[in-house]
Amino acid sequence: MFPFNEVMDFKIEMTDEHELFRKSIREFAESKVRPYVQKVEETNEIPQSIIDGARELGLYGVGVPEKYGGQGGDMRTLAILTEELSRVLPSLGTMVTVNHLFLIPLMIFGTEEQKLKYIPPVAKGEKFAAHANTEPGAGSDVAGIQTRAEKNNNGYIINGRKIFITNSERAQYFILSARTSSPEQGKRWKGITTFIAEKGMPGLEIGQKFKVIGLRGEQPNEVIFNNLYVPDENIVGKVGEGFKVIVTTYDYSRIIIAAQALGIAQGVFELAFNYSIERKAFEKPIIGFEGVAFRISDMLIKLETARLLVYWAAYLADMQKPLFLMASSMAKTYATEVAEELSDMAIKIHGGAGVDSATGVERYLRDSVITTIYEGTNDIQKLTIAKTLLKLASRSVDIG
Amino acid sequence: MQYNTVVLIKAIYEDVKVDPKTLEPSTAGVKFKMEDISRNAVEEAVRIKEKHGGKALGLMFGNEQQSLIMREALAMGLDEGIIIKGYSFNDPVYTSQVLYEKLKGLQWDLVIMGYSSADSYTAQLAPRLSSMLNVPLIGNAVKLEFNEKKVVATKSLDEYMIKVESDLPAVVSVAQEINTPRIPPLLQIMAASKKPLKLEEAPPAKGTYYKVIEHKAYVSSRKKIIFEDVNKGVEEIYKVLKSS
Repeated sequence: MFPFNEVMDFKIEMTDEHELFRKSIREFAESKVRPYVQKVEETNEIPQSIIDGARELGLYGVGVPEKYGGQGGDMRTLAILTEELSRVLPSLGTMVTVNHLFLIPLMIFGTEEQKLKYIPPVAKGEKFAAHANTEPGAGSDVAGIQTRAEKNNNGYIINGRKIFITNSERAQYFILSARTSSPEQGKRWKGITTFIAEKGMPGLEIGQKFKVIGLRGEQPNEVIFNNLYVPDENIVGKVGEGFKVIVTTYDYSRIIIAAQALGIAQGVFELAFNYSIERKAFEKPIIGFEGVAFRISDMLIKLETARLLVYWAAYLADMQKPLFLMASSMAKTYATEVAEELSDMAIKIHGGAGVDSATGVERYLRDSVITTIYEGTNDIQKLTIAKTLLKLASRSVDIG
Repeated sequence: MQYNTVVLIKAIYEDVKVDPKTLEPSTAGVKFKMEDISRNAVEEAVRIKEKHGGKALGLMFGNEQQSLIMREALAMGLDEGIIIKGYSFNDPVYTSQVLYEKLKGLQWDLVIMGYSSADSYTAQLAPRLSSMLNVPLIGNAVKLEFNEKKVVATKSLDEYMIKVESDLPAVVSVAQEINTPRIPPLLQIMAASKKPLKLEEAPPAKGTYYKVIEHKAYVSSRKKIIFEDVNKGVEEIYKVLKSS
């Protein structure tokens, strides 16, 4: 079973608490979110009632220890949250969990002072956070960023431009990456540092809103640093080692993206199945035709395979098993591809109704595209998987 | 003043499908859920506890497999739960005997339950228990308030609201309009797993009092008459309606 070691590596455990939590989120999503889905599509805005409802239910604090104002819970809980929200409204899945791109690095690399100051307001839903890494010339290639931070007294002066930053209009807190020294020969990843910045600091500007397909209600902006001064105490992790902070964050957060894709796949599967038993052609429900029956079965097989991968990766992460790194790349890649594929299949089953926005199928296809891209594109995931395999086999081949 | 409450909770099938051939309900593989109005009763007990203090205990005549439903009620805010095992089918006489045996040994000011359950709608449990326990009954309450050792309930009739007052202890059944049940957050779900949940055996039934003879879905048969001439339509429809 190379690269895994024993059958126990494939264990997935879920508890009563996970199921009760899933029921809570299902109820919230069906009663408080579903009635507004069409409105979100039309206005490109998530209504305040949903943002507030999520706060009342403590959703922003899921996965954050109680000590820091959170609700507790683990990666499996976070995956369930994201899946159930995304099943109804994928952009809400993004809105609620994108805070974790700020919370995860703070929880792992932050100082106790940073944790106590920045985590509780976000976990309680009083403030929002964003993660500013991607640039016009670098995204999945974290080492390629151009934003610069120059030492100045007890802090740094930061200049640069970040793009596609989700939640940046709403966010009060930012974690950002910048070069504090030039890349070393053969060690491009060295010399990057991560900082916390707050909205209102002079030199932190929110730029244009990007018009992207999908995830209506939660569209990203440009974030500009124009001589932004950040004090030393806002450095997250060690100076020059920000690369590690960023990629470690994605090791965990890509399970959240995988869960978002899983929610999309579940949503379109239900729509397609229901349509296939209700819609008649040639005097029988269309599932009575092999062309549709096979598609429905294929959808289910892929959906549940994706689910097992996502829950498995989350369980391995919760158990702190090193192979979760690879499992999370596998889950992210597979689940997001399945989300895209199943959305397309669901449209095909619906025929003409599938491309009508009122039916509510085509939006899932638009929403699924970005899942294959953000938090490390699927191609990058595959390179990582191959590199890990080579490492485990003690072979040295230059990839990528 | 504090009030101790016991909430009666029922577990029912989540989504019953009708077998198209036999027209009987098909329950194979169907999960259980907390009965709808029981959920309102739980919410009301939690609100009383939050407002006045006291203990709120959940009591269910059900089965071990339904303990997740009691956990859910604990996550909504009840302090502890007791499941009496051995429920097999809907028999209000036996159910009231089982619950009476348990209730008479517990300390409470108020027994709260849904006025009727969303699977059988017999609405017998509250009156039976009130008579067995020999305490006042308030049925179908849409609002509960307290006045020292008395409970003041607003009941909704079709065109009136009436307010009634009763000494405590009492049995109160509530209507769905009384509140909107809360969705339990993660923190409460985690806390619920540490609350006490006891499983007990039911006393044996003294007999079967209630027998289901037949259980079938409604059949609606359509006449499938199509009127093609719109101008004549009204006249034709009138004839058909008149003759049927």
